[in-house]
Amino acid sequence: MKRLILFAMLALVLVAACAPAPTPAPTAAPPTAAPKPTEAPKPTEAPKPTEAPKPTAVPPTATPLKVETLRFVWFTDGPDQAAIEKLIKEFNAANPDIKVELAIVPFAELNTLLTTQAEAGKAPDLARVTEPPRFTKWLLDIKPYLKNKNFDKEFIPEAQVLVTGEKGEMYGYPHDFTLNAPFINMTLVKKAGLELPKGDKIAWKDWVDLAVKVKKATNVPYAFAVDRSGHRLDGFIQAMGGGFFTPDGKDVRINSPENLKAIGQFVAWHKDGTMPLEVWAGGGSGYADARQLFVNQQLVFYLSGNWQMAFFNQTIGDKFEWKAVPNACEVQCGGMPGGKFLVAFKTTPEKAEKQARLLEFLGSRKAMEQYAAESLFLPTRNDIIKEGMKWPMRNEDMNTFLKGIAVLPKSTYVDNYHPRFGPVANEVRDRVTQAITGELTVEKALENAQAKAKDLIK
Amino acid sequence: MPSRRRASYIPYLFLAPNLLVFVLFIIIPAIYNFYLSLFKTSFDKPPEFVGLDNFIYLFQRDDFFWRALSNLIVFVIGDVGLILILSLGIALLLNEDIRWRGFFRSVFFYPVLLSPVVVALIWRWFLNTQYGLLNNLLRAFEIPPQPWLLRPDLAMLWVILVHVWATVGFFALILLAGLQAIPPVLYEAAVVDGATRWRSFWHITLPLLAPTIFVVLILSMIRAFEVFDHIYALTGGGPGTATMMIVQYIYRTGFEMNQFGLAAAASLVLFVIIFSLTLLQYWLGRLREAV
Amino acid sequence: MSVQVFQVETESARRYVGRGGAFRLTTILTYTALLLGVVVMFLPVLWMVFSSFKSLEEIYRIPPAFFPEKWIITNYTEAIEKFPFLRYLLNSVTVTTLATLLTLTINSMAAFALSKYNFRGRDTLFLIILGTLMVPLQVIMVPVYMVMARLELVNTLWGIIIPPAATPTGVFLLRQYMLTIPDELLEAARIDGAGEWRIFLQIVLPLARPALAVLTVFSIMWRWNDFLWPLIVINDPNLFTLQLGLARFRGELVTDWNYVLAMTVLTMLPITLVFAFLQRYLVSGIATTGLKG
Repeated sequence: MKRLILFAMLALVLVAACAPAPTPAPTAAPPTAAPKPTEAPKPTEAPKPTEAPKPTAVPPTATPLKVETLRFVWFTDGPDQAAIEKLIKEFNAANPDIKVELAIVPFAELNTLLTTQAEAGKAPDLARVTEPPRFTKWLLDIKPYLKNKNFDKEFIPEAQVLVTGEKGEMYGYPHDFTLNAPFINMTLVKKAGLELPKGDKIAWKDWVDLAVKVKKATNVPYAFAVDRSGHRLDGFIQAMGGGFFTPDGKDVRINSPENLKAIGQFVAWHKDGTMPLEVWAGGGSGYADARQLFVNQQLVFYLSGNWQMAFFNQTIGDKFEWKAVPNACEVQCGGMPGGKFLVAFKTTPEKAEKQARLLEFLGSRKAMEQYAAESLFLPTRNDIIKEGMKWPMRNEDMNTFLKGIAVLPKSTYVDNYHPRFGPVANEVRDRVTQAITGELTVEKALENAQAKAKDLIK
Repeated sequence: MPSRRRASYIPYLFLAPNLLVFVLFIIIPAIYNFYLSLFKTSFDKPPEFVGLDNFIYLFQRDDFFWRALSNLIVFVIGDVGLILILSLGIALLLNEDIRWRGFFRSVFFYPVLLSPVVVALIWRWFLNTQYGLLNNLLRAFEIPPQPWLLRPDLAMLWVILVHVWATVGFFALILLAGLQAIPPVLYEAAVVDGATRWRSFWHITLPLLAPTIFVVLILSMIRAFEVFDHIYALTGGGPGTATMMIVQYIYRTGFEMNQFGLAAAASLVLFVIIFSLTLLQYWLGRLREAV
Repeated sequence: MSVQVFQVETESARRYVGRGGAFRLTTILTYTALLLGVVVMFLPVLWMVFSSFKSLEEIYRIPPAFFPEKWIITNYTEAIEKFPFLRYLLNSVTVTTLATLLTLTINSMAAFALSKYNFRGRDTLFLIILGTLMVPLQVIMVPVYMVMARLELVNTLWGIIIPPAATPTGVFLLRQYMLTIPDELLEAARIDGAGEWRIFLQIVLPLARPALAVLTVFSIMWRWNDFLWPLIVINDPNLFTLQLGLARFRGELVTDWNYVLAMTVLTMLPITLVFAFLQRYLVSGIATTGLKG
């Protein structure tokens, strides 16, 4: 009798296994391409974001309306969340056979989560990602399902390359374009009675010297800070002719003389207290940003990127005067392109058409202009860039960014859109941290990074 | 004896449910993981068989791996040592005839309830170079503020201390349960025989507590070898690689560098180390249990 | 022996502290040590709790005061406004309760088999179980998820209840404790004709109560704080546990100290209350049940 209970418990623990796990087919290798820098978009009058775009075709009424749920994994930089939620709502209303559910995850866990889920065949339907090559083997080619078969041509070609398959498959598109660029606390500068450097060829050293003078005069803790990120560091060293990959994109040059000089300077500034140890040495082992230091007025000069605009607008507001300033230009101009991509994962054929529909909507001109304006992001559609757009506020800063994009050197595109850029940047970041804490000399740190990077690109 | 005949398959039945969950959710994945260590994975190609290459790389060319290993050894010794001593001390204290015993018990166990992320947050705030309480207390004594988590040696020290702070209550509780099982009549008999407290402790408490101490030793050691969450949230393995441990190395190699085969190799090495040490203690422990 | 040799704590038979009055040196030392322990254990947490009631300016003031100059609760109100605390709480409670019940059941059964029987492969199986302790989740995350997907447990609450319930620590703990239960008691019951299951339920389990109580507390705590695993398994926001909900709210890296402090305190609150309630059962005086001498 009691044994029956035992067996019952055994049964409770056993769960029926019926569904076979779909085996993802290995897809094309990531493409290599020769990226060209884009032209500077002219800032002109642009139409204000309008009402919802017309609804797309609804499936024939012969079949009963089956609502398909699409899971969309998203990570947020702040105010973009409201913008995308608004667009999703519009889409859901206009497409009664689709229900899009947004799932927000912390950025730090994004790749881990997507990798784990995808490996097991349980990837989301769509995701906002920063490194599409990581997921290529699980992504869906949306071209067959698009109304506009040339949709991929409407986006910045250098970026689009990262979501294009060997045979021209389209896995998604770049959704917002970013530029690494510095911000400065003008209130502090004015308080110190100083002025910004003028001219076109300002060196990082000039900026930092100014920041140090301001710091001393106003007694704030830090002059200069950079987010703990290989991507940000790359933008910094580019101004001095440095970079991670060789111009043809086939090899790495981590311990080149230019890098040694640039990173040597970077490390030295940490050691003499110009830059905070908290960010690179104490910021943990992953990505860490220094934006809170800037917001709390403990930092004069901050190298980050345009995606902070909306966040700064919201949290700083008028508390103090701040603005975006150009990257340094020495051997060439610094800065790095970047951005986020929207991609679709392979699920079921019924869903494929709907995934394509959503992507086509979000990548349409009206949707993108609305999104970029509300999030203070930069658009990725060629037509908007060419004709320019207006943001609801802080247009001067947004235009500083646009000008910065125009002068980005080719080497920055080679680096950022290399399929292995993510892991290589992580390695460099961690090695440079070792140099900052004194574990390794700068030479040894870059040497080790070079060796590992060579492994990674094999 | 009739009961013996039924006994043969009964224990298996009792063991089955737990074992089933283990097999499905730990053993099978672990075997797959170890199998993966023989391959090199990549974004876009299927995994390719490389035999022992990953292991050769680990031991011959990877300075991060060696760093993590040496950090780990320092950590385990410090952590387990402190835990053994402190948890026994706390358990003995709590076993005394004191007032508000429930309150004190809660106080020592309390940090164990907190998730590793919360623990890390609390201590990062406490140890913050500029705004933390510790440096402020020191300021009152004219001692300059120290970069507690930003210097490699200090960071390692605090990583150990914080981990002990967050887990010692767990082990103290286990030992306390063990202490409670010792029949008081034994102590009373010893008092009658004129034994001092020290002798009672040495000849009654310790031997009878041995199986429980064994639990504490093994568990604390295994957990120390596998430490990840606490440290990752506190220092992220930094500054630099000063507090990076093996599990973090595995996590980074897999999810940040996307080299899952190499990560699997490192996890196999970790497993072998822990397993050998545990096996060693098990044999030693069994000798004592048999007495 | 007519004396009850196996007995849980009762008030009368306390460990003897020593003869003498309340002001013996050892007593003073004991209380001093305990007080020191309280300070060490509580100070950092109190610091955080008090800081959570400060405005951002005060938090960043140097030197900071221990108590807030001006107590504000906006850190809390703004935090709560932003997410459905109650739903997440409900999910956490469900998962924690069910997982703990499951853990207690299957762990005690396994520990019983490993401690009270002599069967083929017993030691090997015990070592295997111990071995499962040595494979941390981060290492096997991907393959475990694949198994879960196969079993259709993904995105279900069962998916975060069942896999963690087999806690090797629990089995280990209970086994060691059950080893100290005298075999004679079981033999006596067998001679009287009791079945194995009845022996388990009516003799072994009650005697193992302190260890079971300890495991209950541990299991509640583990399941309550589970983060990485539920993050990967659960997609549906309606199924989020408290930890997931808070992580989602945390967004990018933690630098907004004022909200973080408030959120941290909120996360700690439920389990603190539960523990305060349960802790007396940990080593409490539960009278023995009808044992024959």
